Amino acid sequence: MARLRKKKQPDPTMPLAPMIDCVFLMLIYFMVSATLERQEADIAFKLPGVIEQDSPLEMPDEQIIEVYGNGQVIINDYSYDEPDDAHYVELAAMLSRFKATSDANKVDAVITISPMDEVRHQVIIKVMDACDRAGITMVNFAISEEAL
Amino acid sequence: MAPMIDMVFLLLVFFMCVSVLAQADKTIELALPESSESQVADSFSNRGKISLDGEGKIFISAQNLTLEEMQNKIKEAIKMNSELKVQIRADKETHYDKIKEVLKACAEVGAYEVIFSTYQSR
Repeated sequence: MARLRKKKQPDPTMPLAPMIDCVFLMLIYFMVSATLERQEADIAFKLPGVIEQDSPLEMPDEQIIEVYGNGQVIINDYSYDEPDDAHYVELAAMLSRFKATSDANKVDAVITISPMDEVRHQVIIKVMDACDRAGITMVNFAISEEAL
Repeated sequence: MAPMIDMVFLLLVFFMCVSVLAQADKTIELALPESSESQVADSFSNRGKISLDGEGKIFISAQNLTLEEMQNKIKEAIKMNSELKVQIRADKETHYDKIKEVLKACAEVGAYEVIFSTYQSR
């Protein structure tokens, strides 16, 4: 009588190659999506508030920068730079001279930016960049009377 | 083979977590203005982010709010944290009148420290 031979079963194995392919694809996807975002940077300033004054107030040296809708920058009726310039170089040079004068007089140099309503945010940032390049850190924004 | 698979799994889990955390702090996508003088902050704590799109619509996180609703949120936040800084993420095409309204609303509720978000251009 012939003995029944038990058929040998192959060792159970897990197919690793497709899983690794899949995991690698997911890894690449998450790595790419994690690095795509561009880092944001800051320009900080303080809004004017109300404080009680005990001691006599030393008046700072103030200049008002008017900004027109097309990006034209004007100080004391004099126009600086072309509206489309990537950087306001003439404005920064003028502000540097203003800062040097204020430092010589031992007073703070304050800039008030007074933009028209239709001025684009990019133009305001260019003006703030010029102030920063001139070393002026005290920057305010003007709000027209009718807005109050 | 096994250690490599372990490493790949660990990396996968790490990037998945980073991705989930980034989603939790999601803000609307904007074309921020370019700045040559802005600095990347060391600390991002004590900040209330307000986004303004090109048309001047106000968003906190990804939620569209009116000016009054935004002001109330900032008021509540500043009550809980007096050190709060308002971070304004405005599109480079946003007109100043819209930004002015937000600045004025912030000053009215006592939020005087403001930060404009930009991309570094240098």
